[in-house]
Formats: sequence, structure tokens, C-alpha cells
Amino acid sequence: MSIKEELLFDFALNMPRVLVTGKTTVLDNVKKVMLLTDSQIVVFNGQKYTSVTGDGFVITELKEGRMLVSGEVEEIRFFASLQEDKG
Amino acid sequence: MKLKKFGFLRHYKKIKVEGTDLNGIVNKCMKNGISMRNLKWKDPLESTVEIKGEDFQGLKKTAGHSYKVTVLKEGGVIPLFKSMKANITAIVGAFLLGAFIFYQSLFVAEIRIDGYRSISEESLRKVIADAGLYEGARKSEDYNHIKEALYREFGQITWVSVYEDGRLVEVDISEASKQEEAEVEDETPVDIVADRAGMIEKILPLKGNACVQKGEYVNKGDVLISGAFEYQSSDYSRGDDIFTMYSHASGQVYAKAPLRLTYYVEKNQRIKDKTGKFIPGIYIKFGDAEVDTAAGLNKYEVSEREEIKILDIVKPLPVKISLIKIQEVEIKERHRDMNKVKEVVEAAVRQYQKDNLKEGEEILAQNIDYSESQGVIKADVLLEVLEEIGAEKIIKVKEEEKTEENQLEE
Repeated sequence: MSIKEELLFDFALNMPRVLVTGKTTVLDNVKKVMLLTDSQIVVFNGQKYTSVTGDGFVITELKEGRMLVSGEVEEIRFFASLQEDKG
Repeated sequence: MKLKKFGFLRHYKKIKVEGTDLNGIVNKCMKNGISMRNLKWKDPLESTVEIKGEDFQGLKKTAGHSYKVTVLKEGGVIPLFKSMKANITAIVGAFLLGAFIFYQSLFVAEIRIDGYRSISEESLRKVIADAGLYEGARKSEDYNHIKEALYREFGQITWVSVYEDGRLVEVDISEASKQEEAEVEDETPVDIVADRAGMIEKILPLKGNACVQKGEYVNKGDVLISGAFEYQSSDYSRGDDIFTMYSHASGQVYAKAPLRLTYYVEKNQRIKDKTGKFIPGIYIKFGDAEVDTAAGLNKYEVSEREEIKILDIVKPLPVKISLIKIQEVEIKERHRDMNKVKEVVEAAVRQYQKDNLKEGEEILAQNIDYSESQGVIKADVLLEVLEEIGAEKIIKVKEEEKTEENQLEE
């Protein structure tokens, strides 16, 4: 990874950033929670949305834009809103 | 403010939030900087979450009338202290129980002695008690003084081990076996000589030549049984010279010997006369601590202390309770009866016989003269004692004779 790419990665405050390790998931840059259930979590990151699907989700910590989730992760999806919706 | 870091550790509340659109309250909390943990969904209308105690009012304000907030549980250091304060009696009780268990573990509850054969357990217990190890005594880190006392008191003890097993102290001893005790036959050439003067009464030579007879008077150092034998060799090559062969003489020689003892007895006898005045008190000993209510109040010049034991236990903790009576007494002097003096002196002579005379030795006759001087009665005791006077004395063998003896053996 070049320095430019690293800087973009660190300072991309409105972009999704997800770290999954075993049964722990870290979602960064959480601006708004859109959906919370024990099988799906959808959060808004500023420009895009992150959707985590799985089973037995518990939010072990939520503070300062960072969400720690424990539970089995099956799928992670990123999506943006349509241009028509924005308008 | 640094304590904010430990917000959850300090105080947290587990709350139940009920209402529609639970995401809304989560987003409002994020916006207001309210940290959350262990957020769980029960169903779309109900969830549980843990927040810091200090954030609770903020959350309630945020929730307004749209959500129902119920506190399920409180945790952290502050509620723990509060609950401790509420249950102070139970905590103090638990602490005292712990302290009691710890304190009782500092004392010896039982002593077990193993391995003794010829020595009685009672005498072993007495020796170790005198050395400071008894039921109820404080445990010691080092029991070497107990071992030393046992070795010193009993010569036949060859090995001692003292170790603790909880409140039990085990004393294992090992005595010398009879085989070990059996002395190796000594071949050093010796004579049996008189270790004091006396008239021979009985002579039993086991090895060697008796040099004295019954009725003979011997002085200290006289040979009684000789370990030297003179012989003429039947080996013609050695000529007609007379040679001496040496052996380890043994035997018993009893002689009548005079023995003089002197005893002093006070002319006046002191007796204690109770005046009738007394101070009652109580003595309590709990572990190491002891209280004696009468001791501090004793103002009598001369007093006698009486003690009646009410409680004396070792388990679970050494506790002793006694009733004390300190009685005032007057010391009076009374002239001692001469018959009593005679009894005392005769008892002292009997004690001397018990302590100093061995088996086979006895007092044959005694004469006691009494004389009075300042404040004391002097008793001069003259005894005729039958005692064993034989003692071993090594024979100094000349070098040439030794060589000769060796040649003979070859």
C-alpha cells in the first residue's frame, strides 16, 4: 500500500471501514444507525451504507463513531443511495 | 475528569428500552456522546443496553416520552460499596469469621508422637511441653529447640522430626535399637582399680585376676582386678623368660566406704496465715491475649493466689477462663519441732540414696549428729555405704612387650 493509499484509508471519514476478526466485527465511521436487529445491522457512513448480516449480534460497544459487534457474520455489503433518492 | 475513563467500571446501569424505532434513540445517544455497550434486541419493540451511571439522566432526557426506560441492574464499584454499606453486618461477620479461622490456625491443636519404644509418651510430652510445644501453644517456624530438648533428655533417641500438618504437629522419633546399643567388645588392656578408699565386701571378677579379698582395705588407685597375666612360653625357641599377656579386665567390686553428708535446716519454720481478706477476679486467656482482673488490684504485701478453672479448651482456639481469688496472708515464724527436723533430714538421706546409689549399692549404717548455730540446725550425717568402687584404668603396655604379643598371636 502506497503512502497516498494509506492516507486515503486513514482519513476517509465518510467511507465504510470494516474489520472482521472471528466473531468480532468493528465498524468505523458510523454516522447513523439505520437498522438494528440480532441478525442484521445497517449503518450509514456519510457517503455509503454498510450492511452486516449474520446471527446473534450484540453491540458490545458503541461510542465515538465506532461500533463493536459480536456475533457470527455471514455477509457484508456496501451500497450507496440512488441519485433519484438524493434528489 | 480522569475518572470518566473508568465510567463503566465506576458505575453502570443496565436498562431496558421499550418503544418503536429503537434506532432513533441509538442515533440520538451517539449524537449526544452517550456511550453504550452490550446492546441486545429482544424484539423490535424492546432492547437492553448498558450505559454509564452519569449518562442515565441524559438518556432519559433524550428518550423523553417516546420510550419507556427501566433500570434492570446497577453495577460497578460505587454500587458495590453501597451494597456493602447496606450489608455491613454480614460483611463484618464474614470478616470476623475469616479472622477467627486465620487466628485459630496460628495455634497447635494436636500433637501426635510416633516411633517411641522404650520411652513413655508421657515423658516425651512433658519434655516437649517444657520446651514450648503443647496443645494450645503458638505455632513456631522453627522446631529445632524441640529436637534439641529431646536429644538432650533422651540419649537413646537417634533421630527426631517435627513438622506441621495444619494445626497438627507430628513428632516422629527413632530410638537406637538394641543391636546398635550393644557395645563392641573392648580389647583395650585395662585393670579394675579402686576409685575411692573402702573395705572390700564383695568381689566378682568376670575377666582378669582378683588382686584383693573380702575384708581387705584398699586405697584409691589400688588394683582390684588385674588385666595382666604372666606366663612362661611353651615355645622353646623363646627361652625360659616369663611373658605378660594383657586383657580387658572386668568385674564388680563392692566395698564398704564411709560417706559424710551435711544438711542445714532452718530453726524457724515460716507459715502462711490467711487474714480472711481477699480480692476476687477472673482470668481470661484467648489465644495469645490474656486478661487478669485481679492482678492489677492486688495491694496486699503477701498474698496467695487460688485459681478455679471454668474452661480450658484448645480447639477451635485456645481459651482459658478461671475464677481467681487473691487472699491476703501473714507470714509467721514458728520454732521447728526437732522430730520434724529429723524427718526432713532422714527424707533427704533417702532421696540421696535414690538419686546417687546404683543397683546393688545400699546404705549399711547411718549416724546423724545435730548441732544448732545461728538460725540453723546443722545435721552431720555419717553413712556406711556399700558401693561399687571398681573403675577401669588402661594398662600402659611397653612397646617391646606389644611386639612380643603380636608375634605370639601370629
